[in-house]
Amino acid sequence: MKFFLICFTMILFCIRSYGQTKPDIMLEDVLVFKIIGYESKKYKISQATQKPITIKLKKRVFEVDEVQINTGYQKLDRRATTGSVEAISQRDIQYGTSGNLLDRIDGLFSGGYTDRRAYDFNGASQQPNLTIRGESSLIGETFPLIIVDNFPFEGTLDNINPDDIENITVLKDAAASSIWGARAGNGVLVITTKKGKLNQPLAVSVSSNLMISQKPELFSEQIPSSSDFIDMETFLFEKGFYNTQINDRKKPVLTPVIQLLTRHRDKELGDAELEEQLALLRGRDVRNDYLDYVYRNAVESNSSIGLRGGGDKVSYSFSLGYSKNAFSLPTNQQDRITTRFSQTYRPISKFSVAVDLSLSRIAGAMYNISNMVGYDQIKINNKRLYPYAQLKDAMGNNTILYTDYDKSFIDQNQELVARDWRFVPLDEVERTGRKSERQQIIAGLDLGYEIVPGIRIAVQSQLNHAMTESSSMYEEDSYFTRKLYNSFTAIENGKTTYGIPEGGIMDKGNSKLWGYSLRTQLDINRQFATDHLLQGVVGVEAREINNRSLSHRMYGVYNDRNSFSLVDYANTYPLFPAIGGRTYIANGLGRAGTVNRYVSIYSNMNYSIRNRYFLSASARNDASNIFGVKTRNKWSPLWSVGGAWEISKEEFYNLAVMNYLKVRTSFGYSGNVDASIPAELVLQQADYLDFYTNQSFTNIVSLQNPSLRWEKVQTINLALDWKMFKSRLDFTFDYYRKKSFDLIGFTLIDPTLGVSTATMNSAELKGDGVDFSIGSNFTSGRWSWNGVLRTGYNITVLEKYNGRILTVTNQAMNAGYFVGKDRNMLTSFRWDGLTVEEGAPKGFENGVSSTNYLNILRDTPLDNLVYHGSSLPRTVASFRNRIRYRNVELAFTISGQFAYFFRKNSINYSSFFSNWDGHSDVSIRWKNTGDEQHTDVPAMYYPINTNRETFYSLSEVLVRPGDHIRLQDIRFSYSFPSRPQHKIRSLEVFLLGTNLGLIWTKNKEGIDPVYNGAITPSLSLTGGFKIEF
Amino acid sequence: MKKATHKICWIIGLIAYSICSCSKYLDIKPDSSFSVPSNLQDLQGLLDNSEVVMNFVTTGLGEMASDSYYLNETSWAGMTNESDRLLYLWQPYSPIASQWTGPYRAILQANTVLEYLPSIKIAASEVQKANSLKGAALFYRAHQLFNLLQVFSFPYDPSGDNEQLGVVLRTEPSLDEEISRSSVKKCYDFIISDLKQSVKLLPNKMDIPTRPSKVAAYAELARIYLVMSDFETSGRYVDSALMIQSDLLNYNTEIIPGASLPFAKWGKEVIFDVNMNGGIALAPSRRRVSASEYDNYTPADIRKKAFFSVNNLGEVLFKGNYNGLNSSQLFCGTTTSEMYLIRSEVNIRRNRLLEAAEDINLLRSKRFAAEDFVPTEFSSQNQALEFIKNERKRELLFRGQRWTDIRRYTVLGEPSGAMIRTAGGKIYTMTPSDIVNYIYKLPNEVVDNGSLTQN
Repeated sequence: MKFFLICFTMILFCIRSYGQTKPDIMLEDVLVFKIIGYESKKYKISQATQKPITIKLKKRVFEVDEVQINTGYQKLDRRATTGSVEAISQRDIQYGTSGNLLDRIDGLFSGGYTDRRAYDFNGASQQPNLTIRGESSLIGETFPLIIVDNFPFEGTLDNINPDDIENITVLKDAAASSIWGARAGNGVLVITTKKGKLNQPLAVSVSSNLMISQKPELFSEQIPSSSDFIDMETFLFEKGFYNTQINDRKKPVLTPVIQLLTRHRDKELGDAELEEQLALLRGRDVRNDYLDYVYRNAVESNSSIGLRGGGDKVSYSFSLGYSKNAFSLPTNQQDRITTRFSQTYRPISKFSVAVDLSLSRIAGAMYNISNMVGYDQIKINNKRLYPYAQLKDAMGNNTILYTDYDKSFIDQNQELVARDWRFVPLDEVERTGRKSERQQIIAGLDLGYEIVPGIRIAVQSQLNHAMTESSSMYEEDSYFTRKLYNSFTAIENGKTTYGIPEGGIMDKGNSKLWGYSLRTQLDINRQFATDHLLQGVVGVEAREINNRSLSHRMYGVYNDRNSFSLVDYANTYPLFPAIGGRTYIANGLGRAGTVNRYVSIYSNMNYSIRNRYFLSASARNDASNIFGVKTRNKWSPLWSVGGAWEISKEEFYNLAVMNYLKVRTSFGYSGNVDASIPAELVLQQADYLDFYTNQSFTNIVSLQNPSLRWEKVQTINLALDWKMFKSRLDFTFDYYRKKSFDLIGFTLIDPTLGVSTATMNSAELKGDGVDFSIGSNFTSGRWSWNGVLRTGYNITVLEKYNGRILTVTNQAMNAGYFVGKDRNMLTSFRWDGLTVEEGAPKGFENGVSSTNYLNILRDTPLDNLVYHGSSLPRTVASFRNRIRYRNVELAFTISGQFAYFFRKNSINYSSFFSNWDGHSDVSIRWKNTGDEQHTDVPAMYYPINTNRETFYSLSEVLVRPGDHIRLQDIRFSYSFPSRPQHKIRSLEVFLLGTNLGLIWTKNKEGIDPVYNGAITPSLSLTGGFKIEF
Repeated sequence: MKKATHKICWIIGLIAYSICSCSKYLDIKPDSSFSVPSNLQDLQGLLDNSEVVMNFVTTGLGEMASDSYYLNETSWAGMTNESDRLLYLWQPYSPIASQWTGPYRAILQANTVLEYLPSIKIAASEVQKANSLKGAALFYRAHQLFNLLQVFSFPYDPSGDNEQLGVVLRTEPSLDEEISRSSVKKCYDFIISDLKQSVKLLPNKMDIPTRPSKVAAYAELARIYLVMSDFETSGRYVDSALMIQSDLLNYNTEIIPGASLPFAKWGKEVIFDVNMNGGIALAPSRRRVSASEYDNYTPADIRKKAFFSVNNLGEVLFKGNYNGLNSSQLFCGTTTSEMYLIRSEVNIRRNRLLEAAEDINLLRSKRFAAEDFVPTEFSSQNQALEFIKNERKRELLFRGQRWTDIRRYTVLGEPSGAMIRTAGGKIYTMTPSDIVNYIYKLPNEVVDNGSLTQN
């Protein structure tokens, strides 16, 4: 409460001081004239002063490296840093329009790799995985630490509006990241939001944009055609594969083809008729129906307004952002409102108070997965949908799809149950699904006081509170509810009873996050003699983050009446059909809670001599409430040192072409901690009741492991920064060696112990790499060209592994533990083509061609695997170009990933037969002797041998180089000339195209290695404007 | 300047203070669902982890090797794992790891209870509960080990020294314990000692049959002594068990035989509810019952209707699972009816035919309508033995007892006939001498990642 009072007073104060812009000038006063980009000038008012006065300011000659970097603890000139730091400017962040921060910064610093392999075309908000300079943990977090306004950000990144960001500093090496200690092993992104500045008139900026995307690229997925699918069913039918299902009392769904084949077998259907019917089905593709009747163009719009300004004692900023996402599935959408307010009050020069307040609210509506609306969400007895299904029939009516029981069963039992048991996919499109709302408030208060000149004490604090509420409504007439209602129908002695009440079903979930951070530090900024400058911080910090969640289910819900009914959870009920046995009614109850606490003592010192020799040192000690470790072992001391030399400042330096040259180096440690891994025998209370007995129960989470330690990352960085041709070309080159040790991994242990893996400090990684960037800035008359190439090379090797090595197949499948080789080494079994007689794949056993798959999979020595290389790109590059002629700018970004391999997906007959999850390769499979000359896809066969399928999927023949180049985006913009008379400082309109596809790929089939035959992101087009006045 | 120094000292003091006070600050649990076992509730939770760990992991390999079921050609071919297909044909193949690791997971949880119980402060009112937890842990350990022995070790020979390789006897929940296989004799001694201790600790009966009780321990001992051919002791334990629980389910009035699942879980016959890991071969959609098995029941036998249904291909399907589940998780716990069967067999073997017939008739009177029931009379020991063996087949079908029975009879020199399976157009036979020599290989994972001697 107190906090809000302070905020309120601040706002009042701000309004008052804003009014006093007209200064009372007296004799002997000194006026200071300042404009950004010009040298300031003092002017003393004297008797002689003429009115009006004209002051001419000299245009400032820019120092080469003006960029300030913010480590989250202190602000430093970039030129004074010894570590590997990159700053992402606001201009770059504003280039894209995505509401998601990670999309905006993709490719904007060297050494970062954004993993987008998990793409969901149904359009839920996506968080790609980001790693900086390769992985430094095996099972722990590999995502960088995110700092927003001096404190680690807790919650989802969606709550941050990228338009609020002033700049981002990326800390990559130990000198930079050891400042953040035990959580900084993966690098740190320090985000600073826009703030007002003292003595700055009110500036308003408004921006808005609209993005439209094509419907999902369903046809980009490599799946078997309807015809191939029907051939598979016919093949299996002849083998008797479906007999079990046809005679199964549980009545699994039989596809239209199997029903036709059964009728043909039973002589109810003639040969010609069968062929005719099958031919009809062969011509269908359900994806057309999905595009016509289900999916829509996704639309995203973002708008924001920002105000900034400041008087001589107060500065302030305020922003409001709104974005709306309409995803490709109808009714799936998300709204976001973000607002941020900050104000600094400096009543006397020694003392300052700053408050920050940010609020965000994300409201979303998504189908429940059980509504089965999305193309990949429909499951037929847990299998994929068969490709010749239809959503609308020839008459234009919504068709019925049988997903749980066969048509014969439904027809037979429909009369016995109360609810319609048929599933009509297009009817579900109308359903409401899961609604969720997330609100987050972050409030910060900073106090600073200069005790003696150059030494300031600062107290920084932050409160964080987030609440998420979700409710999934299954209406009474939704398929989910109808099915459940029917299932809990019991017919005894002619009397029908229902286990669950009439009405809808609602799943409710609540979660709450709250935490605080408190930091006290001394900021030192003192000049000694004339040429010595010491800048540093010493401080202590405590943080706590709590997470709580609770969920439950309600039955008999009528939304318009707020009503619900009681359900008997304690007893079992018979399931209909009666072969289902008895079961409890699902209660959906669950609760969980976590607390993480961190305490740190830290210091960081930067010392510069004559503005050209720079030294830095940091030391830090962290502790957390890691479970079951003695207090003494909870602490993890980390440190770093660094040095830099700006050679171009030296008198002897006279290389005119290279106008700036700096060498820098650093060495130090940062860490990684996962407090959720306990160090002793720990039990965990299950968050649900035992399904059989309805009793609460516990599990063993971990066995005793008293030697558990924090993971540590040691980094050496050697770097060179230089600029050429009057700073027109700007180079940065970093070489690093990163050693991560005491890495926690799942170690295989003797299964007779009762568990097969244990979590232990068991591995060491060694990463070597290079980050390199070139920036160009050429202007010639009305033309200008600005291009930045950022690239990183990283090779991370598993240096040591103390755990037990997996079996050869597991090693190959999971890119396991290959000591001395890439951490993500892609390996495969040697391939010897297909057999002439059967088209079965051949491998090698003891160097001899073999089809004994079990022996190959079990006994191939690790050395006999084919080692291809890393499965993650060793090189990632991004090249952004901006070409400007007068007010017109054309920009584009090209990105590439190189030096890696991927396993092309292909046909797996086991999952094709059992899960209907096939691959288009089936059409080029071996069919007759001779085919082995030109195809590597094995023949279709039955009974299935899973070892053969595993061998083929892990064989050499499916490995492809992953190298590719992508046209990331094209942006065209026009900036209107600034018009001071209309008070408009700038106005820009733009068009942006994204997801433009591949330019080049090394694999011959043209497979996009990122999506590997799955559905690729759709082309999208954005238009928008940005105005400042 | 002095004032400033003073201020700095003050701040440093404050910082120092806050660091000192943080050791307590860091003692909070990171996850509120976590706990170091510190009270009886935590330990009870470990043993109540029924569905995943404690009561559903008993190895089903014995049932899978026995002749209580068969697979037709398409069901057999439909098993996608080659090893499942070969195991069905009794080929020496390594079974899925969970058949071994599941039971050892249960043993780990039991050992955790035994390890932490002594360190927990127990109030006077909780002594009974603590004892029963200890008894339950001992019981689970014994139960799992006994069932593992039936499939991974050569049979117990009452006249031999039983030095053949048994299973691993684990007593601690630690990662450091040395792991090796003990002899079958040692294993049986260990199991019996566990169960005898648990008898003293457990309460007579439990509200929930998935929790071990004294009657469950008696019943388990009766089973084990029967396998060891110590008939007198086995009979004594049956007496003790039936003193506590003797109710039989009357199939005339208490079930609906025609229902698709006539038996609800925790019927009054159930002494201890534990279920086997039946793997995919025993899935209800796959397993079939042979005609000879089906014909073993007279038409008047209600069990014929309650246990089986016939599909439209004329194949016989089993639906008599005592846990109410239509799954491969088949009930293999002890029941009062099994106790009567054991006592009857024990009496026959001790040539007390009258007493034997009394138990059999009591049981069978609950399996036939009153008008159909004809009391059985035993004329000779051999005829009685033949009868009881068939009655065990009828009553304990799919209860995990068949395989042990077949081995036991062969060891006693009373071999039953050869078993036959067909697949891929070939016939595979297992003669009585094959049966006592057939044991499963340990799962590959267990041997690859451990130090055990493979079978």
